[in-house]
Amino acid sequence: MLSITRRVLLGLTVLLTPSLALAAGGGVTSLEGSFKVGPAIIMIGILALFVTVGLLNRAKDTSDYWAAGRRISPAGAGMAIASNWMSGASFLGMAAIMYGAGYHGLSYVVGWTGGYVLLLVLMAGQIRRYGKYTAADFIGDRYYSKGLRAFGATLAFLISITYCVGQFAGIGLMFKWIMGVDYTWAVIIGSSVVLFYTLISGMLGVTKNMQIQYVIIIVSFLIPLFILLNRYDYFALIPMLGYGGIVTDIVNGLVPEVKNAVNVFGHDLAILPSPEYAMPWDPATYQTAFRWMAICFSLMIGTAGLPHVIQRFYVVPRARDARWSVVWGLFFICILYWAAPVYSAVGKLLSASPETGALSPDAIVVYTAQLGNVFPLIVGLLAAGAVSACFSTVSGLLVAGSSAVSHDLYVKVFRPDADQKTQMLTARLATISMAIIVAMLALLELGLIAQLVAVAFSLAGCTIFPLFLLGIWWSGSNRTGAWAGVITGSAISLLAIVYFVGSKYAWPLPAADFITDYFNAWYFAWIGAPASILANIIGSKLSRDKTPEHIHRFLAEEVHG
Amino acid sequence: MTQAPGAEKTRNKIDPPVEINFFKPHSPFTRENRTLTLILVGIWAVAVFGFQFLLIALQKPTPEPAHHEYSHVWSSVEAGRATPQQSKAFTRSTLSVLGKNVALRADHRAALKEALSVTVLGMLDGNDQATFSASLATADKADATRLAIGAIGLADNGFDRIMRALLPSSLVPVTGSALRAEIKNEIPAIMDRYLIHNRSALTDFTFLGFPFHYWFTGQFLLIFFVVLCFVYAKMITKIMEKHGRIKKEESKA
Repeated sequence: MLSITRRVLLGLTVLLTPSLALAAGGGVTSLEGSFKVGPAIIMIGILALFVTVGLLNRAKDTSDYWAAGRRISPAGAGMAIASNWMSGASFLGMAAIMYGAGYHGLSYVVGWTGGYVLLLVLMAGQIRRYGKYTAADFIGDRYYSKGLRAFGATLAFLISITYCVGQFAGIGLMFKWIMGVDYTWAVIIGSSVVLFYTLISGMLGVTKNMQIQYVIIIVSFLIPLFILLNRYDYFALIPMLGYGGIVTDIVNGLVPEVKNAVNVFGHDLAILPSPEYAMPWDPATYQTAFRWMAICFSLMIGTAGLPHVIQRFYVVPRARDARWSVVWGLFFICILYWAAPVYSAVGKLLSASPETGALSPDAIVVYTAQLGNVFPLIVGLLAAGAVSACFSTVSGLLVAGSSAVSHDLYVKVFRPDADQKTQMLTARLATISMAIIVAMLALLELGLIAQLVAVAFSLAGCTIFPLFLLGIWWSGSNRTGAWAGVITGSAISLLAIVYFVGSKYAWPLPAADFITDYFNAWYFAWIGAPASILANIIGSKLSRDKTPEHIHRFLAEEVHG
Repeated sequence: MTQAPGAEKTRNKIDPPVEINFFKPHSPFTRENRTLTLILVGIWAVAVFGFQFLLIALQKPTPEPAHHEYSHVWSSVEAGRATPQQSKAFTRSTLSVLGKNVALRADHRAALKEALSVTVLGMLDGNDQATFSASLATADKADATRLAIGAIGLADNGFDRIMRALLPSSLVPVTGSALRAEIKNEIPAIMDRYLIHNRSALTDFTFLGFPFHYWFTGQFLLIFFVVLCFVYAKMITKIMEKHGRIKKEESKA
């Protein structure tokens, strides 16, 4: 282990030394467009570090590939949960939503953290005690149905793809910013790198990497905030508290004479009164209280239904570790989530001058650091942190999605006699297929990163969450009920997604306004999840099918015993 | 059919097997677990959604000072008989909206720019009107900006300085000094949308520099979630110890 650490540190030193030297000379003079030497080298160095760690810890067999051999401590698993969780949507997307829609964006902040309370209280320990490898494993066994296992695996695959689209968009944006290439090429290059990395490392490498990634993500995210708040004379010691003054300045307005400071372009640090930034569901943002709560609720239950999140509980040795890994994970996550809105507030202030022009919200984190004239090396580290955030999530998602296909569909349903080599090959092919599909979808630029990721949450909340919730807490939920529930949830999901795509391509669909308001792609789980739960209960009650005795027994004696 | 979990070796056999139902706990342990879960989920739901409902219950549409300024002069501006002071007040209120760093709808932005430009044109005398109109066709709009600054009376400090910077991008070529009927119809709704906000005691009270509601949602709730998870992890461990479940769980690991 010591030798591995030494080799990693040596590799890091070798990679970063030229980065530091070159980056110091590479000044950022424009927000977009040019190739940025320093940031590029830092990003390449960090990615090379991840690949090195992945290679040193690569999967040896399917058990390692899927569940990291169950050798991770609760704090380590918590860090992996946080890293896995802190995606491009957290790093780039939350600030983007808040930059554009103010208080409405807090529904994403609260939704993506509050769901962990539900996950812990309702499921974490029980899922671990159930003792399966994947979400589809659980569904197939609990509902004693190969069909449901296949359906669950397909859902896990689709959810992972949907989730990945936002991440690939984030990777594309950052590669575009760093390399100065076209968005299409940026997505292609970024996708190839993340695919290569996932294929050679597997989940064991991913889990180890996630702990390193977490540190890089959080450090790169916080350093610019200390600098920015200090530079503009706000309380910088704890930026998460210090930005209260910025929010109030935005609400009440800030005259140029107060700070007597400028952004990187020489525009005054000043803003006209803008209460719409902080006031709840402000008409200026075109958001409503209903939307706030629907998004928040959908993200929360989606959290408790995401296969790649649930799967993290299989890598800890005991149910108690699963519980404490959630506590640790949420704490680590919250450090970033407390800080993300700071970027939107500082960005708002620094870009208030009309001469700055309109900025792409999804890159506002990096733009804010640039507008605040943060040293280019630090901005480069920030961009590399964003890439790390996307990578850490994508690699977990690719593993979850490919294991859904190779383990849950191919081995458990079609080829139970497949040997280890064939299983690994199937997993790798599934990973490649997923990456290609996701890259193609990311090129369509269907929405903001956070919004694209929210679709995956609603999909999980409508389908997987009800199966787990009822599967764990009500042994009366049977195969028929499960089918009724999952079909209802899937139908509502399909409706929302068809209307979402239809709105993008101007399809003439009936009742489009109503569906867009109440079955919106960002939050359809607010209605889809309760409907799915209800259908599951009704189906279970009305059917002649009964949950087999050994499942009643297993739930009573092992899961709740 | 796949291999069922019951096929695995089980301990502590219960005969006959009981039905698991969250609302009908089958043992003292599950009863305590259910109670703890209900309490924590209840607290969680009230903290998250209860607070938002409270915001809705207390909120009152509250206009910004710029809206007051606008509403006092709008009837005169609309009727085309605004005094120079009233015109100044109106142009300032339009600039207050145009200067907001929020994505204004394109048609709203266009209407505001037209209203601003028409009103400024109406405030100028004959020669200046010609210079103003000619300048609007140029790239830097320097003369138009200078004339508008003079007509509106924008100083070189405070919010006026921000408004001055807004003028080059806000002045657009116009054909006359009277507002078109379409613009007259659109302006009231636009001003209401961007200058009236949902405020209450919870949004006006500041805590640690934040509007209280913002701090509660963006900061406190996150800390509270971590605390809830910590409390649950501690409490469930205690409950499990009390019922001899920890040893069993560890023996299974």
